[in-house]
Amino acid sequence: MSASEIFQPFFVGIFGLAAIWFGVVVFRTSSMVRSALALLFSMTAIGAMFLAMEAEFLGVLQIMMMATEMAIMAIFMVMYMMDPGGMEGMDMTHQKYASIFAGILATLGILAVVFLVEWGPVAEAAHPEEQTRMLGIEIMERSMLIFETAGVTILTAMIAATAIAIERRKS
Amino acid sequence: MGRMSITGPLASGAAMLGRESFVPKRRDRVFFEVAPPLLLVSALLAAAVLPLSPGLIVADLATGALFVNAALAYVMVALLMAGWAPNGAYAMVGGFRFLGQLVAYSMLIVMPITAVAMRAESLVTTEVVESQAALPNAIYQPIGFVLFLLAGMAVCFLPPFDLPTAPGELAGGVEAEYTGWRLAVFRLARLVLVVTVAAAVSVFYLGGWLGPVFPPWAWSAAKTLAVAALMLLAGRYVPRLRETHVLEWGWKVGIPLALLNIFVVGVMILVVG
Repeated sequence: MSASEIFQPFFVGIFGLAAIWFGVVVFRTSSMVRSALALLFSMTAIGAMFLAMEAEFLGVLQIMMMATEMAIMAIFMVMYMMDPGGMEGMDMTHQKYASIFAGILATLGILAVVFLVEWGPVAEAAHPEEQTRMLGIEIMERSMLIFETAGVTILTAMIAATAIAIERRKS
Repeated sequence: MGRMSITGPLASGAAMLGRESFVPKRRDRVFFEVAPPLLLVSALLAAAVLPLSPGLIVADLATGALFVNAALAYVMVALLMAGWAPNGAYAMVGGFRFLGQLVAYSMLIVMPITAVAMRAESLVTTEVVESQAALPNAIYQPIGFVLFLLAGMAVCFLPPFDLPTAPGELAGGVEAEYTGWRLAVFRLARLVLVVTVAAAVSVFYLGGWLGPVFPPWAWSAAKTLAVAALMLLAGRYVPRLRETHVLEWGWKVGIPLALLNIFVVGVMILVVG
């Protein structure tokens, strides 16, 4: 057994546990900013899992994108929630029985997928530079239409949202 | 200790360590303690993928140029934490200002790096340096160079982009509630960040270790220090910008220029090779 065969599952496991733990923290705190940043660090841990699984480009991209997204989510939560600091004893949880039931059901579903699917042999990861190249070719060839459609749709939504937000000038 | 004393920063740093570190009463304890080290860690992580000489690099990642940007994104997270944690008005305004500042500068970090990677046909930082053997990128793509340098100053919240700290207006902003050794860590982290961004400018635009006569590491060090000095000095002669102006100029002037830069570099690669 080589060193990477021991260390790889170890780090994937450690970052996986970190991702779950930060995920739990999201719901254990009543501060909006803490909640958003806990979600950020959960996502960062998933990015670190990608890195441990030798999917370098994906990992770095995940770590990069989530920082901005979650920080912007934090500011929106501060703007719209009545007690963003969670200092007045506001309870963030509701519909407890329904959520416990949904949680158990989702866990059983995931476990079923993990154990019942025939995963096949472990694929050898391509060299990181080769992965980046293959991803580029995928985006510019087979998946180009999907990415272009998504891009134009998001741009349209951004322009529309800005147009709605601008106060109408008095004529 | 005179005006240009080299021991000055060391002495004032040591003095800061000796002072009592007050903490605000109703703070977010975790964020308050984590923010200064996180700022330091993100600067050090970005520095880890920047080569000092061909063999002298901590981690030669296949996605190095992208990783620099990923690590620098956490500068904003650290400042947001530092702003939120002390439960003080000045700090919070400073923290959220930096989030707005990120919206202005982040594209001006990514887009110039894209053009640099286009020329090198690689995201590996050592290959980016080698692609500049004939001509440094500062001359090959001057628009990208200027944009990246300005955006780099905005990342380091140096004047005239020092909106999150804003001495004289926000009473220190995100730094306002930090004292003693915690403030020392915060200030050290910012200086490390300045050197890291200067090293990134050197690697992406000034040909990194390339240069005649002197050994590679000496060229890297000299270029990095020169850029860092420029970044620290330049803002002293310009008034602080308003956050609305930073956003307006970033989006209305910066991003079109960055796109033009990508287009011009693309044409040059196709025509000149």
